[in-house]
Amino acid sequence: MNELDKALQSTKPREPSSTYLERGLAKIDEFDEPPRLVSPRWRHATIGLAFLLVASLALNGLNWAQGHREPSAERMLVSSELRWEGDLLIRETHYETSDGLEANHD
Amino acid sequence: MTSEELRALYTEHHHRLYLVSLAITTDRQTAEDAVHNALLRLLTKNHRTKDPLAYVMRAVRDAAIDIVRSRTKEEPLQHEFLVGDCETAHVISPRMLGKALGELRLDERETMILHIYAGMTFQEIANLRRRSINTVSAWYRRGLAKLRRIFEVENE
Repeated sequence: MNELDKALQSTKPREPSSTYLERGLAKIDEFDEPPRLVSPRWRHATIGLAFLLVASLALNGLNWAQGHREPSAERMLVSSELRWEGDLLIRETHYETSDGLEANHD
Repeated sequence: MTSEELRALYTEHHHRLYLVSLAITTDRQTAEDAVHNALLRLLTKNHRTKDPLAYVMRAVRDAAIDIVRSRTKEEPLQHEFLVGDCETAHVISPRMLGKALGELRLDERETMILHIYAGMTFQEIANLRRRSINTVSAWYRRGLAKLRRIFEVENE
């Protein structure tokens, strides 16, 4: 066995100080852990669910708005004439739209 | 990790944690400080892990590296962390061996100290370092070869 091997086998690390263990335990015991109402795992799950709910409501709201928007229909004037009904002068106007003929009374 | 869990782990493995730290700092006082710094850091986190001991050992290792990096050139490491365990005088004293280990690369020195003095297997060291067992064994072989060259030169 060479000298290096002898030295490696005959040496050992310095032992820690006599207070090493106690000081570490004291640091752990002194630590003031803030009270947690909810564990972090549940907190993360709740935040995720809240996000999904808000996103879902936003998407539903967007779909609702799009569903209630009436498509503009082009209309073309077909005829317009004035006539008396009693003492009222009425204009009857007819438009042609993509939905069919509609009458307006002005 | 709760404070109760950390307390139990530290009580059971405090010596190994000290050696993990000493392998990097090569100084008893800074090794202890690094372990205690790591404990405080761990208490502020609430990390869940499948291997708490490895997690704490990595935290100790990180704290030890931080301390070593923060040392200035005016306060170099002394590397006087070894003692002889028998009264027979050897050609290579513990002080000489500690100094030689201090000249190795961190990976090599750490692996040698953990394997020889902490009794960790190459697989355990590989798990700690998150490296392959081949890499760890290469570090060990290179470290040993460098020590042999150092003491061959000194004997000439």
